[in-house]
Amino acid sequence: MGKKAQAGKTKPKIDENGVLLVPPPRTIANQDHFHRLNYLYQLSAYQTRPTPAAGAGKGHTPLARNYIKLMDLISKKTKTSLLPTVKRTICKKCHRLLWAPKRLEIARDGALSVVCGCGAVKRYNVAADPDYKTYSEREGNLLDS
Amino acid sequence: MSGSLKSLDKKIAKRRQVYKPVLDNPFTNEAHLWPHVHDQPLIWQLVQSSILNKLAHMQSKEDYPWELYTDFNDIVQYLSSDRGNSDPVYLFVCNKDPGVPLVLLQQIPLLCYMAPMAVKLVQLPRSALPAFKTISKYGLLLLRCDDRVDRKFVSQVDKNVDSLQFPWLSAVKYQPTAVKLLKTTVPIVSKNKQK
Repeated sequence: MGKKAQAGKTKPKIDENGVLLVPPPRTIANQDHFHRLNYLYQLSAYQTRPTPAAGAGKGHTPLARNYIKLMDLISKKTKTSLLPTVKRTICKKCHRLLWAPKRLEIARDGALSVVCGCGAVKRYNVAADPDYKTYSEREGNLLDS
Repeated sequence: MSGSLKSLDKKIAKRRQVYKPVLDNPFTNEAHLWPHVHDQPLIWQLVQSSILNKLAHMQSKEDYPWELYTDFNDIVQYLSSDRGNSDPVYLFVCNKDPGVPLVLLQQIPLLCYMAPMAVKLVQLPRSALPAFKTISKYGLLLLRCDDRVDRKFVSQVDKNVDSLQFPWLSAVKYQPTAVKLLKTTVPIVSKNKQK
């Protein structure tokens, strides 16, 4: 019995940094939370669809903002993460989608500032390191499920 | 004795690899955001011979023979204001080169789409940025296509570059959830140590 059990066991793989390597999971737990977040984001996007004729999503969009607020709350309550590509499109203050920001400029110090309709500013210090990539943007860190 | 203490230490795992599920943006599909350029070498050669080589001999911005903008703030201002002219504009971007911030590039396609005038977004091939370095820090060039611009150049760009398309803005269609796995590590903490 002991021999058979031992033959089936494989040695754990450890890389040179002392990290125990594990294969990616086949299924993702609590997918329904992600479906819910995705649906809310798209509902909000539909409400704030910018069109060249309309100018931008400059109008009063309480419903769209509420959907994003709900999405933000759910992601916090359920501890589900959003990629920076999603978070960068959301104003933290008024929960507006920043597809057509009020102002977009490179400030004197070289930082890219995205000004929302509510006055909140998102600043990205692009001058410090133009090649900067977030952890998820770096090659090999993000896998398709 | 085989192996040093260091090599023995490496055999004991200190961290464990984990895969964290994260939600991706359903609307950021890079393949669709930037219009396809059919004959990339031809377009790049045309840009070099028709525009960049001529600009290299100019001393100041006032000498430019065309109306063009190379500063990001000027480009944004031009694209977001209605100037009352119907001339189309070309925006050349070095989006494949290192040295151009990704956050900055992510803003450009939608900015062009929202502009009141017709904008042709032209992505340039890799290693095009050094040719732009003297005129634009981030490899951006906006050219207004009025009568002063060579007609052949305009027709070639129009023929070879697709127009901007945002299927998710024009048609309402539910996009499936894009859940990705983020590969990261967590420390292995033994139960004895926790106590």
